[in-house]
Amino acid sequence: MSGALAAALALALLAFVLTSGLLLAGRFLHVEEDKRLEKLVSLLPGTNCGACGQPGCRAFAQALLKGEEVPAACSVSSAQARQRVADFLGVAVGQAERRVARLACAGDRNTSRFLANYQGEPSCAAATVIDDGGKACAWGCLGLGDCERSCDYDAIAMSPLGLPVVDEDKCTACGDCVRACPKDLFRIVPEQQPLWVACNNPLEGNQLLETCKVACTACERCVRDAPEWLAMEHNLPVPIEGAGGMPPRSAIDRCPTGAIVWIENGKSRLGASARVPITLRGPRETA
Amino acid sequence: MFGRRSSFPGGIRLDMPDRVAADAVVRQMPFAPLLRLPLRQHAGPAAEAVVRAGEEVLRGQLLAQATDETAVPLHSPATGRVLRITEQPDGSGGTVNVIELAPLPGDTQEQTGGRAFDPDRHDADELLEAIRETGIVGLGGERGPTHLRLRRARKRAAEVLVINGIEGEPGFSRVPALLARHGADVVTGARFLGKVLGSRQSVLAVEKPDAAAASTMMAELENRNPPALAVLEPRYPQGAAELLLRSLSGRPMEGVSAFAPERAVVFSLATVAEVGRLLKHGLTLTDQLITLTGDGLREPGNYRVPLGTPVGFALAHAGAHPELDRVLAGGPMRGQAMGDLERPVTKGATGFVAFAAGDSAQLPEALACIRCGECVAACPLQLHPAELGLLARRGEIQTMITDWHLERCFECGCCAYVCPSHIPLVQMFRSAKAQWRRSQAVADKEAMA
Repeated sequence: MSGALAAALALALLAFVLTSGLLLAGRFLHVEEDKRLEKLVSLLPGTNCGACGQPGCRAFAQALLKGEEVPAACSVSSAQARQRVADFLGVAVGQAERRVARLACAGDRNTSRFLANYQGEPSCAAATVIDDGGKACAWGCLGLGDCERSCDYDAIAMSPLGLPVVDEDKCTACGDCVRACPKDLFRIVPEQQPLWVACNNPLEGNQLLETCKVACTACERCVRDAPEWLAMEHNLPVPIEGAGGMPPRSAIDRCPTGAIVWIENGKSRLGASARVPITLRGPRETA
Repeated sequence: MFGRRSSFPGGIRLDMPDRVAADAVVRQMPFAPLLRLPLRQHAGPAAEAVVRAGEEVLRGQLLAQATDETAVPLHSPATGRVLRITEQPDGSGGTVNVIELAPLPGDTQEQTGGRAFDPDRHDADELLEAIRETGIVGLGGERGPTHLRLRRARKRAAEVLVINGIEGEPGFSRVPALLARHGADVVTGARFLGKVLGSRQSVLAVEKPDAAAASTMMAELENRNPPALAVLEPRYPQGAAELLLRSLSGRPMEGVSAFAPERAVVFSLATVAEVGRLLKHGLTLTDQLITLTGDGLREPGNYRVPLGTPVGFALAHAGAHPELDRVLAGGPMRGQAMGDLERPVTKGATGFVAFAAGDSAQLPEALACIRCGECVAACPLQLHPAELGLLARRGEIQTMITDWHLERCFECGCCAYVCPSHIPLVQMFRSAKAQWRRSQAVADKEAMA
């Protein structure tokens, strides 16, 4: 037998064995994949933002197919897009609490004191490492707009007085601003939660007002007026998670500085005793 | 044929004026009406106050005790009254308790000595504890508790004590002042530290401008067995311990046999001098020898400043221009702009630079990187500042850490100094490191949840 023939036969045999191996593997190791997955992924925004709590859009689609999530959990997509997903799957859109980002600071250039004029790199992350950024309140917003640049949805705009203003309609609660802010001032909260403390200063006492006129002085009046909805933590009132019902609107009325506000339909309102105007969004309206 | 191999790569030769007689002068700063003493002036956990508001304290008396082995106590810099103890921001997002002390006007402010120590009569463990009791930390700007550094050096059986007499910053004059005024303390301090370490060899490293002062000191103390002297070519940042050891390795030194960097431990000249001065008289650390300089001061120079003195007060005493443009905590190379002149002088402060309004007020505009490679040549750690800068601009902090060793950078400032495009590289690196620490903290928190 010539060498060439032996080689050809050996190759043919090898090809036969490997082919049958592949065919068998294809038959016995077959994984049934839901045919709807690809289509479903294409219906989702595809930004992999993680706002739904899943690692990305594909994981969210798989969770949808298993019935572990409802279409409404994708807070990033529009109402119509969610409806399309629901129609495609033949399920209801479902209820998901809409969440938005809110800033825990109201110290703009009118109300909060700056000790020094920062001139370096125009970014909050860079300013923070230079003696806290030169603001009298070491915890306050520096107003250099790292959050505005981090937002993929155009939901944050810097006000002329140097505070970021969140457009709650556009906000998808993706959390990019939370990660961008070096002072950890953004929180993702339920949109329907009306009580909001726009301060992050962990100190107490009236001397805080020398650094910022809208600081929370930890007087605890609001906590006493709405004990079921607010609790003190590090000298700041914090909304209690899972507290049912609507807190009384009067909770903000005795706040001497206006650090706590009432946000309803995207409009923030100050309490009756607040002396100093603060702007969270849109024109101010005093209750 | 070949010259001695350069000690460490990169670095820069700064134009330094010759030392003058005034550099050796140290003036005493008077007491400010209010001293602010944060309870964390060392690297480590905060100390715990043992005095209460309203209490009268003596100069040198214990104000706050160390909470664990890695902390040092804090002592009163003045005889006076504790006004209050308040929580104040600590400069890194948290808070720290601060003792506010009003020195008693008219008091002699004499510090009565406590238990005096002697390197010949006390054993190493006693001395180590005594060093800790003085509240001393690294006074070259590093702020790590001295007793911890000693303990670690003892564990790895360090044989050679290197006294770092390299002036860390251009324009500062702490080294000539210490050599001229505290020569005896340096020799005593070296003996105390040597006793703790169990080493008999010590070497004092200085750069050429300070060689004459060092020789004079050695000659005066010849009969007291002073350390060997090593005179190095001036080059910034030779004062960094790691680089200093590289400069010293392979050069013959009198009285030092077979110098090896891994068998050496570095203490700054100021630390050694203070250990000598404090232990000899049983005193505690209550003030700080710093340089105040810059064109915004009428009387720049060295000052012995009580701890807790507001920087603004100290500058005013040195004849500060009424309209300072910028004040750097630290020197012109590594110093950071201050946001608040009410901040106190703390342990480990080396000096402050005050600029009057004028040319320095204008920061040059940062231009694009032209990839000239000047920063790469200047980096003493052979990092790649240009690449790191580009990555920082794109926010790729993970890559900066994992692929380009950002964490090795100790922010000496050579790269930014030589950059022809005035790119604020050091600030970008500092901010990137801060962001990295933040993201790590967030990741840790998420991992815990």
